[in-house]
Amino acid sequence: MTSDFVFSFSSEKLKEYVDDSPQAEYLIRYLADLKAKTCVLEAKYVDKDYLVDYQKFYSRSFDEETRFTKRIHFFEAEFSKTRFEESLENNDIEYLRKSYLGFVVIRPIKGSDRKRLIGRTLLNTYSDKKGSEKRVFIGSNYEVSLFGIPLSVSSLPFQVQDQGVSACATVALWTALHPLADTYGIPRLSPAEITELSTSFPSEYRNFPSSGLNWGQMINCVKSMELDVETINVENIDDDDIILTAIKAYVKAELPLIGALKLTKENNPPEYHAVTISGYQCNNNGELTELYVHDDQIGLYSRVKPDGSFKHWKNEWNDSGHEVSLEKLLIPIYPKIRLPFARIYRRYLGIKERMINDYGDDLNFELYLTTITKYKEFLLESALKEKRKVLIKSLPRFLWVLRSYSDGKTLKDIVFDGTSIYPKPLTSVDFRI
Amino acid sequence: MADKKRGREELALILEEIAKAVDEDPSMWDKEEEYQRKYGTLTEEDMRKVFTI
Repeated sequence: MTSDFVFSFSSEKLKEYVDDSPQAEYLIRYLADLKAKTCVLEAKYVDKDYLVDYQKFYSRSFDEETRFTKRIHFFEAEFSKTRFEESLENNDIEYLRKSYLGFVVIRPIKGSDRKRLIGRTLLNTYSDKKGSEKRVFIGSNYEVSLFGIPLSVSSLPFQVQDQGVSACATVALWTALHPLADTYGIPRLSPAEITELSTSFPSEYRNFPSSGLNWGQMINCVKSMELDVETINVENIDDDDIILTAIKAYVKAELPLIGALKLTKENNPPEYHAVTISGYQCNNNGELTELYVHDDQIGLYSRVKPDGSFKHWKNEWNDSGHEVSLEKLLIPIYPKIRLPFARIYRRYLGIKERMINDYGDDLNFELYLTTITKYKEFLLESALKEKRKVLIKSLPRFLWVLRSYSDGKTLKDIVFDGTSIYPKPLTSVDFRI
Repeated sequence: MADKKRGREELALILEEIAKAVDEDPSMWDKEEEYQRKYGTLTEEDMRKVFTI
C-alpha cells in the first residue's frame, strides 16, 4: 500500500493519478462541485470490466500491461490518514458512509494522447434541486466495499473509450445497459464484450482495435441481449417537443437514452458521435432547461443547454469549434413494452392540443412510461377519487400515462396499455387536491 | 382560450370526453401510423452510419 493512500482533494495531487486529459480535468471540476475533500487510494484494485478487456485484448499484446487498476474513493468529510486508520481499527465508519461521493477507476492503459484512461466511474449526481428548478437523474444504488467498509453511491456508470476495445458507441451502450442488468436480469458486459457482440453484425470496419460501431451494430448488441430497441428519428423535426417528451418519459422510467449526434466543423465532413442521456433539469412548469449527458469525450452528467432548441446543443464540443445536432435516439427496452413511442406521442398530442386550444393554457400535460408496481405505489400515496376501486383494478406490467395538471396541481391521468401495439386507454384516475 | 371559471371536476370530465373522442376518431389510426413512419423507422443509410468519435 502506498504510504500516502489518504490525501486531501486537490487538482495537482489527483493529476498524479489521472493525468490531465480533458475528461480528467472535467472529473476534477465535477468532484469540486460535489465538495470532495478527501481521497482514499486503492493502489491495486481488480476491476471486472478492465479484467475482461485485458483477457480479451491486452493479454495478447506484446506490451506488458498489468491486470490491476487503481481506484480512488472520494469523501465530503475531511480526515487524515491517522484518523482513517483509527476508524478501520475501531469500526468507526459512520462519517465515511455519510460523506461518501463515489469512486474512479484508473486503467493502467494510456490513450493515443499518452494520458491514462479513466475506467469505471461511479460518482453521486448533483443535488436534485437548483433554486426552484428540479433535476431528475438516472442513477441506481451501487454497493461499494472499501477495505471492508460498506459504502453506497447513487449513479450511472461512466468511463472513457479505450480504443483497443471500444469507441464512443460501445461506451454509450455500456452506460445505457448497466442499470438494466438489475431491472431486466441481463448480464453486465465489459466494453470489449459489447464490441464483440455488436460486431457479430458485420461491417467493413475492423472489430479490434475498435474504430466505431454503426447504428445497426448497436441495435444488434441490444437485441442479442434479449432486449428490444425503441428508435426515435429527430433528424428533420420542426420543433423539439418530441425530443423533450421522449427524454422526460424515458428518464423518469429510469431507461437511459442513447443520443446519435452529428458534429460539424467548418470545412470538415460531418462526424458522428454517440452519448448517453442521463438526466434533465426542468422549471416549475415542467419545461426542460438543461440536459445531463454521459459523453465519453467530456465526462459524466455533463451539462447541455439548448442552442435555440434541444435539437442543437450547447456544450463543451462548441469550444473546439463543433456544432452539435441531435439526430436520433435509441432506447434499449424490455420487449414487452410494445407500444411504440411515436404512436403514443401522436395520441398524447391529439388530446393535449384539443384541451389546451379549447380550455386554457393553465393546463399542462406530461407523458411517461411506468410499471404497474411503481404506478400503484404512487397512487397509494396520492389523494384520489374512488381510490380503492382504482388500486384494485387489474393493469398490465407496463403503462404509458398521460398526466394533466391544472394550475400546477395534478388533475387526471389517462392510462394506456404499454404492452399493446396501438394506444389503448385502460382507465383514468382523478386526483383530489 | 382559457376559461378560468371551469373547476377541476369539470376539466377532468372534459378531458375524459376528449380522450374518448380522440380514441374513437377514425382518422387517429392513420395519424399515429404516419408518426410511426416519420419518427419511428430507420433507413438502410441510417443503419450504416458509423459513430467514430
